[in-house]
Amino acid sequence: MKRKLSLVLAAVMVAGSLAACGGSSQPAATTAAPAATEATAAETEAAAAETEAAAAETEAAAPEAGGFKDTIKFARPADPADLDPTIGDDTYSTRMYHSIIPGLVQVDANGEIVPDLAESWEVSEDGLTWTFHLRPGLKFADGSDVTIEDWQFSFDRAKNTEESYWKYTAEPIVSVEGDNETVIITIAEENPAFLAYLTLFNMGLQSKAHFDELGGTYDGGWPLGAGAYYVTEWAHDQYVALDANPYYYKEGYPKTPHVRFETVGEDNSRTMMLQGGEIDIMSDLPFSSAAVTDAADGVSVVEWPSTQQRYLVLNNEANPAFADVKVRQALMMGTDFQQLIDMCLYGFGQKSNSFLSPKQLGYNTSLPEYTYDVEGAKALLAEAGYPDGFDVTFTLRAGNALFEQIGTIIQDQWSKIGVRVNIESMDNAALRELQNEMKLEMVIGTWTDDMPDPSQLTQYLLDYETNHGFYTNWKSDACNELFAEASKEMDDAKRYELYNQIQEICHDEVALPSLFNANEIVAQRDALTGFVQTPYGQYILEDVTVAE
Amino acid sequence: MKDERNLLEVEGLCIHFETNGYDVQAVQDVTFSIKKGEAMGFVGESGCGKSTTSRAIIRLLAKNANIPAGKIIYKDQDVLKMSQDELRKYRGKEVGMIFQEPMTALNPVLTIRTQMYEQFRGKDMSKEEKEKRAIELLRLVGIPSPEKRLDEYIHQFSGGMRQRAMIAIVLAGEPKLLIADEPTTALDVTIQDQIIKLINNLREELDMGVLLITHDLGVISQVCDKVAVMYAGFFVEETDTLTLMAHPMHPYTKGLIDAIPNGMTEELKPIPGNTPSLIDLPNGCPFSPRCFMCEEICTKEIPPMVEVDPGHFSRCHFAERMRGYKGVIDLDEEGKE
Amino acid sequence: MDVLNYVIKRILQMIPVFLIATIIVFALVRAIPGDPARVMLGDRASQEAVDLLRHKMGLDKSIPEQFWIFFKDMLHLDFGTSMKYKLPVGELLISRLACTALLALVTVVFTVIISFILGYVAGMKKGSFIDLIIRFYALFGLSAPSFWIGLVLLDFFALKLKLFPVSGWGETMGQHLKAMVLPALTSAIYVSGILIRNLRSNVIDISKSDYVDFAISKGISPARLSIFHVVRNALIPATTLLSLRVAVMLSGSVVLETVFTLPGLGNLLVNSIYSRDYPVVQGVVMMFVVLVMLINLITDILYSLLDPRVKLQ
Repeated sequence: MKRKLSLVLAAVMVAGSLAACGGSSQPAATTAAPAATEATAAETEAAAAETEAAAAETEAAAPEAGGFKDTIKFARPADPADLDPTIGDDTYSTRMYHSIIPGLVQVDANGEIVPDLAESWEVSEDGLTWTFHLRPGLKFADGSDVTIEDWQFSFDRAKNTEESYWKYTAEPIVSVEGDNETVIITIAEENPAFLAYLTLFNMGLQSKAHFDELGGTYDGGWPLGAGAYYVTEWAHDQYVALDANPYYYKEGYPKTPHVRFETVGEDNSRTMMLQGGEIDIMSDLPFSSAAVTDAADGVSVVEWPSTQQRYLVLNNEANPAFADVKVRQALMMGTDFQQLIDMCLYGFGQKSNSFLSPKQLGYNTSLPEYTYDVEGAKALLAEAGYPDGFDVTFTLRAGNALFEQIGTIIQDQWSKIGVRVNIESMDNAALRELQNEMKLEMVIGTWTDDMPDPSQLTQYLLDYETNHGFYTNWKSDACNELFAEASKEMDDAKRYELYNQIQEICHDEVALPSLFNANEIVAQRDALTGFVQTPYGQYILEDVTVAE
Repeated sequence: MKDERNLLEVEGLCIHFETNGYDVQAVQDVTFSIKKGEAMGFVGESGCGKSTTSRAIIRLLAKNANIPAGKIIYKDQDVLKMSQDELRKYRGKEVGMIFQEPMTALNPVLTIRTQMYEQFRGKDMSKEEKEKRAIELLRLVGIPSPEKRLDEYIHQFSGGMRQRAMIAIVLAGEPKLLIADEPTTALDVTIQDQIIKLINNLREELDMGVLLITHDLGVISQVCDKVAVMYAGFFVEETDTLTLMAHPMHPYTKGLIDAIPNGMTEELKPIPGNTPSLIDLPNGCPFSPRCFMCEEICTKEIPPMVEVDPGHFSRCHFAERMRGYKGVIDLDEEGKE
Repeated sequence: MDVLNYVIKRILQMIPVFLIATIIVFALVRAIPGDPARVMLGDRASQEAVDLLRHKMGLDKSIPEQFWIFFKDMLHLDFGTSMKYKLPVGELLISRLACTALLALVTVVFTVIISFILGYVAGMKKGSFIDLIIRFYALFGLSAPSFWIGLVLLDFFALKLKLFPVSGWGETMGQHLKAMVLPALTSAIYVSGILIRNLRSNVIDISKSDYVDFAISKGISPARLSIFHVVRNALIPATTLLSLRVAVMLSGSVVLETVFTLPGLGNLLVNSIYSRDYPVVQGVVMMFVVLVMLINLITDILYSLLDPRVKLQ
């Protein structure tokens, strides 16, 4: 079986970002608007059809006669932690949101921001008033009409849920007004990232009435939205069942009437189920198993671009050796990144020279690579005052095979430059607590962007108060200043230039070195077609069909 | 000529056991018969072969036993050649066995009722009839409140009652020949007495043949019509009980009798020496190493069983020398002791 | 009446044990490093947000205070709400227990069938070739790792022959039972290893006993001898052993639940420890304590029923 490469090349991403057509406001809106207007006409006609007829057509559109299954069975290793979009931000929750609670805009397979529930929009001159034109006749999956109260409720929740890390994205919102066809959002200040914020899951449209019915909380329940599907059942640690939304705005979609996210913890079991045809698609296939799985009959491994990065978090508060930039640079020279990538990723990833992912907008492509130079590293260490190297404790999440692999490779590589790495495994919750208290010398950091904008990670990295420089105790006033400027810069060219400078400083100071940028792989049966995973991790399921 | 009233005839029975590669000669050349209503006793020290012989009669020997020679005929049937089906009809119904220790011989987790009803198998009896009969039997052996006791377990019975319960169960099969293997050994004297009386009564009422095995001559004298003395697997003397007690004609029997404690004035007089190992028997007469009459021929030739008087057999080269020896009972001079 | 009094007495004895166990678990689980609020909110949440959530969940109170609240609720049969699943702990426990209990039940059935037959045959035919095979099987069952056996069974019966589901336990009772076959078999292979050895040695001892000889001397049929005298007595210690194993089974097996993807107590406990879901950890452990004590009680009663020589005290 040939390996299907749905890999969108990084070049496209880079080209896209340089072409200033990314997440910024006006130009995109203007180009989108005419297209949307044309689309609007057609869709108005379609929407004019009877709701019931539309429902019937949706049913009919799910082709039974053509010999297709009526349920997509998707197996994953864990349940979503929480389907509350302000809190549940783990992988298994975030990937589901687009199917159930889409918002005004979405990210497509190419990483572009495109219309979702809003078919077009404009921004005022001063950049403070965003007017979104909704698709006509939007309804929630239970048939109730979408009203402006629902939008207000959703944005209010996003902004005011105290424990939510994501509330900062709704923070700029001053007011939400409008009617059943328009949503007008006023923000406090011009913000180049605002449209990207609107693609986030916490900005999804949720039914207020449903929330009230649940007693004013999503505890023990889930949100109701206007997406392709809606959740009908959640058997914890077993499966989440979704049904097609009969009132979905896109006629004829979703193509398959049911989805079941099966929770199957054991990798072998998942793979067996896929091979046996009990499930149609699965995530979290270990890279080491990809070749074997792809070779099996009827099954293919598909690669999707991802912004996912793994970092070496060097905490100079816990290990003073890390405080000297020369030491950090020496460690970079003493690390053979290519070997790491070859051994861990089996080709499903690439090097990254920045804390930002090469797939993210604004990635600085002219950053130099660190060359692998053992002697040079040792010399630099000696210069820094460590001629005999030093000791470091590398704390790894227990039970994670990839991390263990990385740990042993680093240990081996650094032993050659005189740095003695002591590996310790720790249960995740304890690790997090100690990491938070800045007590761990070195850990593996992880990050995946959720939106097409470099500000998400940059802000996190530079938020010293909250996370002490991504738990490294590094900070840079220069970067903070640049970031403050970039956050107000509406011109993309200038904005990305500022980000380039930030990335240069971080690179030179080895603030948060990246081990690699990994892609994601999914294993699916050949009978399944139409599955899309966006570079920011959203599953698009409305197009999926599974042949019998 | 066969006596028609012979229940059991045993001829030249030899039983060997194979243990760890050794050949244990447990029983050698044993011949005897028991008539209907007759009580015979086997007496001898532990390991002399009396239990083994009795077990051979119901073919309850261990797997490593083999019978190289001999016959066991019960009412014209060769027991040693019986099929499993025939054996099942024979055991319990024709021949029954009372074991030495009732606590271990009865199943501790089944009631007396269950174990007794096992003897009613094959009989066309209703539930009420079975219960009636069971209660009758318990009463017969002298167990009070038999209705209650039927549903009890063996551990709930006291010493003598246990033995009675076992006897009742054995009787439930209505055997014609009762084998009692040391039935009183584990009991204290007063209860011993009761059991002996019971056996005698039953024997009279039911006309059962009895084979009583014991090491206690006193018990033999109270129950048995005739007795065989066994030593190292051999019969060494056989005659009726009175004669044995009065005129034993074998040095071993003399030793046994002498060893009976006599009042409180005399010391105990055990037989010097030890019983021989059955794997490594001495040449010639098995008793020779301990015999006060031992001469050279005794160590070379096994003495044959010889009828020294009518109905009185002894296996000794010099049996005649025992004549005149007075045993426990003085038959010739009444009144004198 | 005796049995009833005994049961009441035992239950009264259980109460202090239960209380002490509860206090220990309550304190222990809070003593390990790791903050449930941080686990819930993820790496990116600020300390502020975490503290907020801690306050919401009542975790910023002192431990004795937390315990008092917990204790009061427990008296109303309210065992708290899971921080991870946002469901009442009682509900969660019962649904997981249902799965684990069904698995235990099916395992017991398989174990009894396998071990009683093989143990009896091995004992009766001691020293023969069949005895050797059975003893080898028992040794294999005891030593082979259950995840390996489980995967092998899965691969052959579920994947290749498609007779059973590869994962999950289904929705209807019929599907549940079908899903239980392979995991129960995996578990039974191990437990029968233990029981076969015990039964075999019991049977060997009993075969030499006087009451078997006596029973033979009564001329009863071989079938009756086997069942009423040999097996009936051999199964007494074996039943006690099995009954105690049931307590182990009811605590859930993480290995089996992971390999066969079953929503049982084992995974619930492990996952809730990972996420520091205090109410669930407490709930599960408390339930185990009660279950183990109950099983011990049942074992003792069962034993006294099987062996009339044993008196309940």
